[in-house]
Amino acid sequence: MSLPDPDAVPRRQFLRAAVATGGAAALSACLGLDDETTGELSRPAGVDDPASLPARQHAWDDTLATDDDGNLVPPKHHVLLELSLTAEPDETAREQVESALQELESALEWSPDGLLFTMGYTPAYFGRFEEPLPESVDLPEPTTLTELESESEVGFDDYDALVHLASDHASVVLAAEQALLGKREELNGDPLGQSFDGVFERHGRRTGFVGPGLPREKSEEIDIGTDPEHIPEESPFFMGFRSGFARSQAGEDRVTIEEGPFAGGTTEHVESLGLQLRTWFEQDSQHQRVSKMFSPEHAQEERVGEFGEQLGADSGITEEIAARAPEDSRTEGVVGHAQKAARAREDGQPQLLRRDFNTIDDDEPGVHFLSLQENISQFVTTRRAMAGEDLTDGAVGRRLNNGILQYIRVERRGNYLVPPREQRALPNSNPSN
Amino acid sequence: MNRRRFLQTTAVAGSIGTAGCLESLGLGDDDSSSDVPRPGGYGDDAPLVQDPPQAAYIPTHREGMVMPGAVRAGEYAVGPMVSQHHPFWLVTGETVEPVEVQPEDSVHLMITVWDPETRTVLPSDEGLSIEIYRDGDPIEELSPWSMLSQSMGVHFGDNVPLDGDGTYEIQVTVPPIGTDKTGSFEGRFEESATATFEFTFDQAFRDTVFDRIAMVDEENWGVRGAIEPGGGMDGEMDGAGGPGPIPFSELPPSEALPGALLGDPSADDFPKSSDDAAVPATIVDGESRFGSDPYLLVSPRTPYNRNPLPATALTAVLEENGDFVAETPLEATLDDETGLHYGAAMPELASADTVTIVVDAPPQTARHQGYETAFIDMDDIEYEIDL
Repeated sequence: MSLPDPDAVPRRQFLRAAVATGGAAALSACLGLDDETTGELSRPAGVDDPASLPARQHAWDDTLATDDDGNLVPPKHHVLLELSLTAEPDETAREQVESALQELESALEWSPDGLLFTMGYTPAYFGRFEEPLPESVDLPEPTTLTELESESEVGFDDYDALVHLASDHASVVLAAEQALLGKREELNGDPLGQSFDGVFERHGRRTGFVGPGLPREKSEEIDIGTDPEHIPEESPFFMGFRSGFARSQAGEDRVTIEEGPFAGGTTEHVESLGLQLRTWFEQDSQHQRVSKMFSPEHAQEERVGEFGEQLGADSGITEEIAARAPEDSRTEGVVGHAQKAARAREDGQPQLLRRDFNTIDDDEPGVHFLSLQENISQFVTTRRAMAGEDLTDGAVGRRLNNGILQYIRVERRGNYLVPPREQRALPNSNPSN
Repeated sequence: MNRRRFLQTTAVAGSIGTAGCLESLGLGDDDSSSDVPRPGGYGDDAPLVQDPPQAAYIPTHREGMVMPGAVRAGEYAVGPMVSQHHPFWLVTGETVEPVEVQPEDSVHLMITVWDPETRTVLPSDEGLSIEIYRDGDPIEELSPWSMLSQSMGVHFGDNVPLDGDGTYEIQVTVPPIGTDKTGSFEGRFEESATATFEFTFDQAFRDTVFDRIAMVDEENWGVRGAIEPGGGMDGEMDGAGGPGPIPFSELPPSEALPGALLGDPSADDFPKSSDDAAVPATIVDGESRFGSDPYLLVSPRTPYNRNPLPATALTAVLEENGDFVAETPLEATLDDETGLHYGAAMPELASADTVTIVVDAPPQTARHQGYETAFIDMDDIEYEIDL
């Protein structure tokens, strides 16, 4: 993908294309728009004392704004930087990685106006150590989770580490990625002395965006298979509905590992999906879309509105609606996506903290569904509830009228341990205190 | 794409058989019109019946098709059929919504999956996925709808936009079948498999599809009945070799179902009907492939062509002397001899004198013209148990 002509497209559109393209050329062109005088980032500065930052890498929520309904607003731009280890994970390498990350923290404020990030490690990375991970960490190798995924079609993340970079500013995520790869000498005015160069090399990258108006804008840059006007202007996601309601998300405490050497960390699952938007928007009616995304009751009672504007801080999926999934599959002939997933709540509480975002990687509309949870098994339970394979005895099929399964295809899966901040640099599988 | 107009609606390109239409006239007094919405633009290529009855009815024509040839994939046989794009209807609960043909749509792509050993069509919606390529470039990826058609039976399909003239590669992945399986199907179809086909989309293709459209005499349009299966099914394939021809998905006649048939075959209303679906039922006693308890077997089908009705939720309620005895949801089950039916083991059958089959949700499968106004608003079916 090459960059559009910056004079020919609106600024925001250009920025998003720049994030998706990456690279120094994209960044320079991007920066030219951000600060016309110096061509450098001018974002709030970071901290001098890293110890002042939260002990949890995933502690982002306190820095996020809330919308009018009290829901947290995720950062707009995202990069997932996939890394392969090219050196021994010894003390020297560890110090280098930690220094590089601290340079990001001192250059940029820990907030969506600056930079938020996490660094996670795959089971493949930990497999190089003799000792297994402690029992307090549930981190299996990724596998297919539902009957609709075949081993030959789904890719699994078996490189070593993943850095998730997030900011409201496209220029920031791009510059931070460049900094880690050793391709910059300064960041936000701070000179850089360290990078991952020599310890990690880039295996790949995924990018994305989330927020009202962004999917509609981005859908005009590629061929999403249907007319972009089908996506409501204010929708934060490609499929046209709000998501991530406050009461449908686990809090950070809930997803934090409580015990053992990695206490304070979390596990992360990344499921990359392709979306079939043509049939979703052109064949289903709004009534059918609401039934399949939320529940048949939501559609019948017109609770959602055009894109979820009628839902406040709550998707409206009550325990009763979730419990009614089997009955609805028989009597209504359809079950909703959120209705099914909510069956995995524990004591009425969601188990997952979803930080998912849309993508146009490979010029195709999709979602990088990134989820944090204390144990990967909680993701598996929720994902299977969402698949609703137990609901197919009656009228609902494995895809037919079964939530949104007709419109998504799983392309990749990965499992990661996101250690607490103090263990984030090349941890051993069972670090001693 | 060069669309041609149908100039004469009475010209018959090759007359086609209609099943049961003359016999069916007069069955039932209610010829009320259906209120299922009609799509808007269907182009000028082929008309729709504008005021169909609330029943299976004869459409205006049978689509022309090209069949690039069936292949084996794992335990499955998979056969593609490509026709002109056309409207169909999606069913959600009892709501039926039309799917309009879009300007970008190029073809209607259909896939039939069957067991090559018994030539039984496998109609369960297990979630096929299709990837379409041209010269190695991905063009479209979709999960086709479970569909029901008078002439093509049970299949999977959708209208699909292509990218101009050329040769296309279609990859179809069939997942394992999770539906209950009995008879020689038990333990089979537990692995997914992928089949690959090629077809060329060009003017010759479009001409062939058009030439194969078979019009029905206008006096039969909208009459209760159905067109016969055909247009290549159980007949010549365009592609060579493989496990073809594509079998038609008809179920055995009521009298050939296993077990003791409920109701009186000589009665006028046999088998009992619900919104035009024929719903025979039997009780299979003693040791059988369905187990050792008495087994209630319900085999709903379309009234003329005996197509199975997938994606239906049924419950059986047993009574004796008007008192409730037992109630059980019926499970969709694929059997090599019986095809798709809905059943349950119910020991209480021995003491009941009435079984009521309640339709919790009618067949959610998408419908082709002729089936979109039937099998929606389905009343209970009651049989006396008199064995």
